Amino acid sequence: MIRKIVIGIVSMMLCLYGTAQEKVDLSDLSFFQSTGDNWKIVGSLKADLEENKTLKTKKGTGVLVNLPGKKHGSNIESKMLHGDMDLELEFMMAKGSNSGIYLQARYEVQLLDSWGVTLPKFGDCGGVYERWDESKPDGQKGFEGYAPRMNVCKAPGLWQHLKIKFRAATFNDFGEKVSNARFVSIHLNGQLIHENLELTGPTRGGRPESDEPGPLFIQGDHGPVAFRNINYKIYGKGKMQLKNLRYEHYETTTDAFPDFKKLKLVRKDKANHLTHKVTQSNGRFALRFKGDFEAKEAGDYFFDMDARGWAYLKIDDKDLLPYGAWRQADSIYLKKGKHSFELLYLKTGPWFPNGLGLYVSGPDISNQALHAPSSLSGGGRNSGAPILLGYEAKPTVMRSFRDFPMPDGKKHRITHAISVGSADRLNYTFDPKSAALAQIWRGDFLDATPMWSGRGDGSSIPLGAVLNLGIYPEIVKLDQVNAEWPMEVAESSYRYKGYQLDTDGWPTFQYHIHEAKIHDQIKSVQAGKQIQRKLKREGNASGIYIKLAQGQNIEEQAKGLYSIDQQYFIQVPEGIDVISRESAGRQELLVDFSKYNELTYQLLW
Amino acid sequence: MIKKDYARAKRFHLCRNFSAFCRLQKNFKQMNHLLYSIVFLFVVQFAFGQEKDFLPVESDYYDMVTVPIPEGIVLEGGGVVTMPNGNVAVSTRRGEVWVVENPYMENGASPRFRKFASGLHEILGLAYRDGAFYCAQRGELTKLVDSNGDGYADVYEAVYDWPLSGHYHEYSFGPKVAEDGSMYVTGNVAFGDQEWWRGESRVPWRGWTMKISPDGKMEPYATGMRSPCGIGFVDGAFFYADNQGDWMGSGGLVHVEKGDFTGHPAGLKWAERPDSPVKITENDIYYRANPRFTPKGQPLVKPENIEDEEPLPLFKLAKELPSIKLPAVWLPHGILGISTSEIIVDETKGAFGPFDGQMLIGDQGQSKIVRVFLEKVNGVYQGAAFNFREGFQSGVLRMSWGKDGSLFVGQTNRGWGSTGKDPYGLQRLIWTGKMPFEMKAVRAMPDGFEIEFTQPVDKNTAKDIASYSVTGFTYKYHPVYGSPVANQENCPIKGIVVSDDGLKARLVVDNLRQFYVHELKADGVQSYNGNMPLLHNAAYYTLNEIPKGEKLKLPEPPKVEKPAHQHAMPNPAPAKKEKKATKKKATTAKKAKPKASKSTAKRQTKMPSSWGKADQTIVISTIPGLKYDQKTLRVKAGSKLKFTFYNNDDMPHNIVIVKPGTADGVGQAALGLGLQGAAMNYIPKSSNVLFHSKLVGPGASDTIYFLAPSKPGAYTYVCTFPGHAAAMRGTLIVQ
Repeated sequence: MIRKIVIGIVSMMLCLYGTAQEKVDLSDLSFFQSTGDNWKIVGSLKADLEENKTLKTKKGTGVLVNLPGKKHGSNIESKMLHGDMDLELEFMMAKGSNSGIYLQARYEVQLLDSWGVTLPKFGDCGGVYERWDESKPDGQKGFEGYAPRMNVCKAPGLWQHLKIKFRAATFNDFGEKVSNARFVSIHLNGQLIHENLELTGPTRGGRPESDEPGPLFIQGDHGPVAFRNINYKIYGKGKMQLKNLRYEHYETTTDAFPDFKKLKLVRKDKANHLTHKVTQSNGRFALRFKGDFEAKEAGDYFFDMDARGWAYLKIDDKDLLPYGAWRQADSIYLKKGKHSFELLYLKTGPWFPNGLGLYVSGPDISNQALHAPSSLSGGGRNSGAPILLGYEAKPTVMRSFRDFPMPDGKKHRITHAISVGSADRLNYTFDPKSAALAQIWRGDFLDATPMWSGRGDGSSIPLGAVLNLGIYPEIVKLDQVNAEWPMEVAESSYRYKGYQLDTDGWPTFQYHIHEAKIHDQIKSVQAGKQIQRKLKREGNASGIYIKLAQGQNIEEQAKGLYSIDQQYFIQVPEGIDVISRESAGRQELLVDFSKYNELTYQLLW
Repeated sequence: MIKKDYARAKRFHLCRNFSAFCRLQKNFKQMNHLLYSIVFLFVVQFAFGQEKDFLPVESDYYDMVTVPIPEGIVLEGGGVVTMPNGNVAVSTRRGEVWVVENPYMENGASPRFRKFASGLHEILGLAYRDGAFYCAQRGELTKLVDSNGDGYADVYEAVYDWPLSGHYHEYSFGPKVAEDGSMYVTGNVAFGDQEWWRGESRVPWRGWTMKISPDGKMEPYATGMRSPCGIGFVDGAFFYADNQGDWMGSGGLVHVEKGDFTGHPAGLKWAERPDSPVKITENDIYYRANPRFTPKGQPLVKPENIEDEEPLPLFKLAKELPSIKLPAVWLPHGILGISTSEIIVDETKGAFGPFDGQMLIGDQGQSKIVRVFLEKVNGVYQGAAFNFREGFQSGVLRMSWGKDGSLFVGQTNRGWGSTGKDPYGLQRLIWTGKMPFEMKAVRAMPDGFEIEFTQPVDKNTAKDIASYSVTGFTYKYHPVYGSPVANQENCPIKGIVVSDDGLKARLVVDNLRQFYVHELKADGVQSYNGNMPLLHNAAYYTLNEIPKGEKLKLPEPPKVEKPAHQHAMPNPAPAKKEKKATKKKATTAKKAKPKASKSTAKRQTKMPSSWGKADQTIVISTIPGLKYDQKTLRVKAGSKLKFTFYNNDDMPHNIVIVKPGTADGVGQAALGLGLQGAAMNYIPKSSNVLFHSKLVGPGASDTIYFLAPSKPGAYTYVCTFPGHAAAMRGTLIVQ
């Protein structure tokens, strides 16, 4: 009986919401159950950095905001009910504000203004809130709260990004729980903060567990908070199995797409699982798997292949994932019924461990591995143990290559990067080839495994939520104030001279631009809430300009406080003339450096 | 003590008998050959089997002391320098500079490690001058100064920075400081994205030597470098040592002057820039030596050695292109190292032993140090190289003289593997004060060579032609990774004159060839005191110039020398070639060429027709760092095996299946093959070798067929390429 109801609900959900990723329409509140008038739809908003619990809004649509005012606000919950779900959204905190997102109205991910917190707890932003047992004595009621792996919370008034993969608890026909609810992953501002976290029951204030789906529930009783770009994808409880699986093991000599007629077949046989372990080799080989599977529902199926080497995937007659390296994913519409597949995995050398993984999600199935568990392990290209660089009492300077993500999705390798980590968890990377503050990040310091494990490739990875500012020169000579900002350093006019550490360990970079000698000190201040840049010059600086920021939408929010696309703030002291201009299709903030011997400004994030 | 002396005396007696026996041999040519061989073998067995423990060994003369490194410090030594107060500073891959206080462990105390600097990008060099350290990071020559006196650098001055593409192989080495204060820095090439085997220079000045003034002016100095880890000065002249690789037939030591081109064409990409002093172009090289680029749109084909071609040595190009600088001394690959590192001159004025003024060259892969005697002939540097000391804990990378004339050796094998198994280390080499019996120097003569010994020789053995053998060879210049020994020919010895003081032996030698490496083996020569054999009995002399001057008048008419197999010790030089050699060089060279791909009983490359089908197919590959990808293989006793070995590493390997417990011996025997090693796939003739692959170059493979041993047990498979056998092994379990 229960089962029938569940099936009924699930199929109803499928009918209602389909299976593709859904974007919540925030032109009105129709996605939600009716609630108190503290929840509104607005067009835009900004937070005050000085005043507690204040969000100022502008009319329009697209943003869901909670403005409880002085009173105790109501919570809000969706009409939509969900079990397994992937959720992605942006949120903005007011200063000192508190909220939370409850999956199925049961399990809470905490939202809080945790800006500048060094050692986060379960109650900080991104924490999975604790459970509660009223029967225990005071002080012991709370249990099983989970702090985020690191604090990556940004300043109030900035949009933050949250991505959750949630799997509901499962129950048998008698209503007994078979498996716990689980956060497969939670990413905050791009940083993984929880992974495969099982919850033994609802968190404090959550509704009781059952086999029934529940709504998305947002706390509204602890202060202003705003949301936009809410996307979700709901999954059913189906499973997919590969059948009639066979493999062929070939010898190869190149990494080109193999011509199987010419390749030498080593062995072919039935396979119990999709796994690279059908060969013992870690060298050069090609494995071709063939088999079939049943799509129990018609609809879009998403295949995600993680091949440590080269691979392709063909479904029926379609080359779904073309021959390529490493991770590839794409979706395909499949009719209900049996489908054939062919998968090639090709390895050209032993430089990294073998690994072959294939995941599928579809109308009735959440993300599910089709490969054997031992076919794919962690570590990616690096077979050695991780080599992580943590904090010391003084700032840590470390040079390495750094792969900088470019707007077009490609990576630019900064070859002379200088990374500086500070004990208050706000770090940055300076590119001495362009005198640019290239990246800042919040969280742990560096993963140096790619540089120091095995032969290494000379690069390190920032650990935390990263703000990519750019690799373009930030201090240049302009012929006139309206001239377009150059994207490259004129080699003949620029010379990097090194850095000097002060007694606290902060570096001051030195470089020459034309006749000007610049001393550029960059450090974390205000307990890790701000990066401060102090530029001093000697010599003639006529025509030399500093670019403080560029963006699509720069707004002076308070005196000298500029919001850059609501991604970060720049604070310029009084008495500095900031040139705000449009150039090359973007807004820029410049300062004419010839007018000052020294300029200090902060970046708030 | 008495017992030991007695044992020595006994051995010396035997040695005398042994050499007497060898001389005796010559007079009994009519003796039944078989019987003769049996007796011979018996004596060899007796002389060496019994007395092996008492042969002089390197540690009798050079002691190795390991400097204890505190737990937690990863001292992958990229640079080592001794400070004026005797402290030793080490720069590391982790970007740190450590000052080691009391590294001599005086008063029986452990040294103290003090961090002087950190945060630098994989430092591969270190110099100290006027109170400051200088080091090459990947992309910058940096001056490190402690300006506030707290013992930690606070000034990280960029003396000069250079572009990089960001490829992993773009290491930078140095600086070495010249007398005028200018600093020399060298840079590795990158490798292709598609043609991953091909060294390329993606940005200026990769593959170059840069000369940088203290105030930061850079002068491109010379190119042709591939992996120029070792740089240094000899009498004010700048030298560098390169590694075997594409276009680099073997490692070698080169005297580099401004505008020189030393062989690897990648850096020529920038030769036509106005600031380039190098006047050779890429075309000059590619016109003469086919680079074998993969044509666009074609499947990638990695260049492999062409066995039946006329070898093109670099010196042939040098005749037409005078800016080509040939190695002053070739370091034959596998014999005198596999990955050349630091070069350093013995300036200890005797505190380090008898080799004052000579050069030592480190080797990462074989964890050892070789020695070089240099001389100038017709204005050109050339000389001889010898093995010197092996057995370091990790890969030898950097060396610096301690205040007492001991040698500090900074080590790492950073992902490449080395004979010494530790990932990193710092050791000190100290002369024990005992005089090793060595060839101190080999000098070129108009008609041969003069060997100078460290101790007077036993004249009977030293004047005996049978105590020596000489052979000449060169390397190919081609885009292939490394070169086999090419154009090898015997050099008949016409006569020998030993000096009255017994310290020199003058060898008159036929078939001297200009530019060729000449291997001189003096395995029969004994010392006057104690009749010891040489500690290292081979010298490799690179004969770029043959000196003019008077030839030696031999006291007696030249003898017809004996075939090689009658020498006191096994002589690897092909014996039958000698007579033909002078007449038909080209054809003999061809005939002498090893057929590496030939099928043999221990390496059957075709499935026996009777099999029908193999019972089991085994595919095994390599992992960087001297490893096979599988530590154990399981097979059924007596089963038919198809066995494929892929080499995905960037150095050559083989795989040899040996009887249980014999891997060490087979590895040693492979080392002993010397020059013949590569031609024999480094497979020694031994009944312990059951089956083997050929020597497989990077990116290539070899498939063999054999019946698994019928006797169950744990057999070993091992790579017998020099320096690999200790580490690169696995177990073949026969059930």
